[in-house]
Amino acid sequence: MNHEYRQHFVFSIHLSSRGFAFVLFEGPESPYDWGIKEIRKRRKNDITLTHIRKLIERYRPDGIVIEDYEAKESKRSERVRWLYRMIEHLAMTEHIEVFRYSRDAVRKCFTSVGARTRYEIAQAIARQIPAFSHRVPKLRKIWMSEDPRQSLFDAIALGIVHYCLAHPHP
Amino acid sequence: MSSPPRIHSYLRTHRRKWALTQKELIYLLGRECASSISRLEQGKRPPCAALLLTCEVLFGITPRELFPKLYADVEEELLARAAKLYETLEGNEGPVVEKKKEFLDNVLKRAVTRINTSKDHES
Repeated sequence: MNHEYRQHFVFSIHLSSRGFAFVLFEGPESPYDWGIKEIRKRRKNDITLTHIRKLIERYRPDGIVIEDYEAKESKRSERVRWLYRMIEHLAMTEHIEVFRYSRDAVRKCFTSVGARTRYEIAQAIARQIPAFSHRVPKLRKIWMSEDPRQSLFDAIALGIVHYCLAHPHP
Repeated sequence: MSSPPRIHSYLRTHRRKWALTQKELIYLLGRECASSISRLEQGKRPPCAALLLTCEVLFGITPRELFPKLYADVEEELLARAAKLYETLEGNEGPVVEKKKEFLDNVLKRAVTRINTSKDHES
């Protein structure tokens, strides 16, 4: 972690059917804050948006990274798509740039380190960023529901892809 | 001056990096109240000297790195006072005054160098 006063915050958000996960990056390997928020009540979208708005107000990020929900291979529900659109609208009103990366872009980015599945990507992230090494979910069996921590790693992967594509190393 | 850091404290980041709960951190820091840690993490309360030193021992990070906003505030206030004291010494002569001016000059130079270094890191 670099402790000089870096001012470029990238806020990566990944929405799931049970809430959302976020990571605030100071740099490609410097997460400042992260978390998983499970929302199972009614008015899920309103509550999710309120939480995200509070986080944006608290951290004032320079950029927001989300999944490209309009990509061909995206299989997100209409509710999640609507929520992503609302996040984009929120970012626009706060004058924050939004970056969208498809699952394909994430997969391509991590292929270079031999990670193809979401689980392998989570493992690759844990190797790269020790702060997340203790949060890797167990390998999901076909009869298991998804571990909420997977959503966190999806958010981290989006952030890493952003740094790879928007700020490639020379 | 460099732009003020948005980050108040890295306490939460380091606590979570090492998978510590707030309760465990409170125990390690020898505190009693959970809300005090929460306020420290959010930058709503300045840490005391003993806590700064305990954090340094615990995480191996200097207070300046752990609480950048606090450091920047302290530095800014000190620089203003140092510059004011320097001004009051202007016009006076003698070895004692010269020694004081040399010291204050060093303080100001050191701070300016540090600020410029952080600006370079930012860009």
